Amino acid sequence: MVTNDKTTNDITQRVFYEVSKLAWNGELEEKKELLPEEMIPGPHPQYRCCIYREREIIRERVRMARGLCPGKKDTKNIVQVIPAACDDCPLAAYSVTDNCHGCLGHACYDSCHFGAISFNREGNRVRAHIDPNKCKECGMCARACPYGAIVDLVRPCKKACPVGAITMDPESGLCQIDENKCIQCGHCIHACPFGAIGAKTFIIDVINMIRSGAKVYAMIAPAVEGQYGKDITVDSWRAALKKAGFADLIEVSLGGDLTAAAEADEWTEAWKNGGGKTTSCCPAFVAMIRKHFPELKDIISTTVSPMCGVSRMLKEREPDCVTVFIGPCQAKKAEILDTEVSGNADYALTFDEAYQMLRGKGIDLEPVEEFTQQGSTYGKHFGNSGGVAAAVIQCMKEQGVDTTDLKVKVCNGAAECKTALTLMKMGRLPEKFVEGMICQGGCVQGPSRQKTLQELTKDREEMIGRADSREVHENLKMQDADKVRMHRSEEV
Amino acid sequence: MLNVSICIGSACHMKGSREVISRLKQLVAENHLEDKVSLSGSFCTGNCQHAVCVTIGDTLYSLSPETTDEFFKNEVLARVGA
Repeated sequence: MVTNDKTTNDITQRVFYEVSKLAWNGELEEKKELLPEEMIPGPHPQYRCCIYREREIIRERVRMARGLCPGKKDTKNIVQVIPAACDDCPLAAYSVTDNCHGCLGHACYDSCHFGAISFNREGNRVRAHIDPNKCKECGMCARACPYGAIVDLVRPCKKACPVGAITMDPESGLCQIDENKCIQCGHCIHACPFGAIGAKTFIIDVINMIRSGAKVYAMIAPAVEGQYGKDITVDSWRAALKKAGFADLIEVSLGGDLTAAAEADEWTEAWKNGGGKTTSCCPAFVAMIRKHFPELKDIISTTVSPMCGVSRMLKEREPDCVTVFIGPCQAKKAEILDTEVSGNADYALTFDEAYQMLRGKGIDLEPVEEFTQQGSTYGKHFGNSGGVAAAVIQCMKEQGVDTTDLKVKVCNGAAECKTALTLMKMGRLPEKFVEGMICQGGCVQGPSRQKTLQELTKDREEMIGRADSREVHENLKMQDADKVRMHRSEEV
Repeated sequence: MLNVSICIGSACHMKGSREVISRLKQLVAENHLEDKVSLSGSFCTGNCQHAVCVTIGDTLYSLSPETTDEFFKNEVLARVGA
């Protein structure tokens, strides 16, 4: 997978590994201050201006791995800017390059509706100039120029943010995240070529829980199949996690079945009454509605997420157990901070965090013989765009509902979600039911993805293909999970 | 809106942060303060010796499931004037 952040991602992973190793040995408190120097021995810097800045960046990353804010200011956001790593790249979006020939066509000038373009004479050459105070960043001029002389220099983090939450601190030039707008999708993290955005982790909390002797269950996202090649199955994860001290691993595809069944009842009811509903499993999509389309909040399904469903199932069986979600998602960490929903996972880790946590204890993921199936193939496809809607419709059919005329808008990625919600707000979305996933491709392409959709799909489908064709309700009975409470609030 | 945040980190979890959260939720509901008080979980802030850590604004309070009612009366009710 070619990414923007290969090098910085390697550094992030190394920090997770080193911090985990110390935590497993109970030496974190004592030795955490030594990590920056150990990781950046010097004397010459590798990437930055000097080793002292490189070490400061490591120090801030270690803080985040421990669940703290990287800088001095303590804020609640999961996604955080690492101040020492931010390169304060220029914020002026559109800029004229040397490719400008000063032609007579003036397509750039004619395309601009805001009068931002003028022409300056430099020696015997004429060159276009964009007034940053007038430019609205529409990009018309860049598209109009026959020489491709106008480039979009918008900060990669800002470009990646689907909700316009990233701005620049005018004094320091560093990026800042508007926490009232941020939906914790984590798209900016991997967009920054300097690795200047990261996320807090629960790595230490999970390790401490296991070390304390608590009964800790892992719950792995349905997006896992295919991420680590076709030989690393859910059973591989189970074997490795048990070696690390987890009591067991439950597939969240079972939670997908739970959510689909409950959402199907909700959708059927809404459909009968001429209303509509959205899905509720993507926490970033739910946050997008709550923060940016609050007038639509009543249309969000009141069913809890698959993660919460499995956690509740486990806690109903063993009230004192600790539940840890492992998945591709950053926003799941925010979901569990929402105290309104009870019984949700106690902690959430990304694939990278869980993988390095295991490595920190000298455990690797290995192929195993066993094959266990806890979710239906419908639940397993919750991690793909379109998979949730398909599972809900399947459940409606299982309950004898004729879904021929049910129209669902599947929103694949943040841009499509935003468009559909905007249309819905204006009453102009033809469909009344919406599946929303903020990551394009679905959870399989979440911020902690290991491969691109093209790279993983063949393996993934082959792995899911090993599962039998049991139906959703049938599976819930088989797993003794058909009584789990799936409503957000306590009373219902 | 008064925001009360409760640490869910491992040290606070072991000292009963889950019980503190459910008791606070219950108290908010009993006093019909849903529109005035919001509860949320938070990451560990490194004050584990004070577990269970609860913050209102910048002030840190050290709670236990047994002292939750008293905290609610003295710090939450007093602030929202109910």
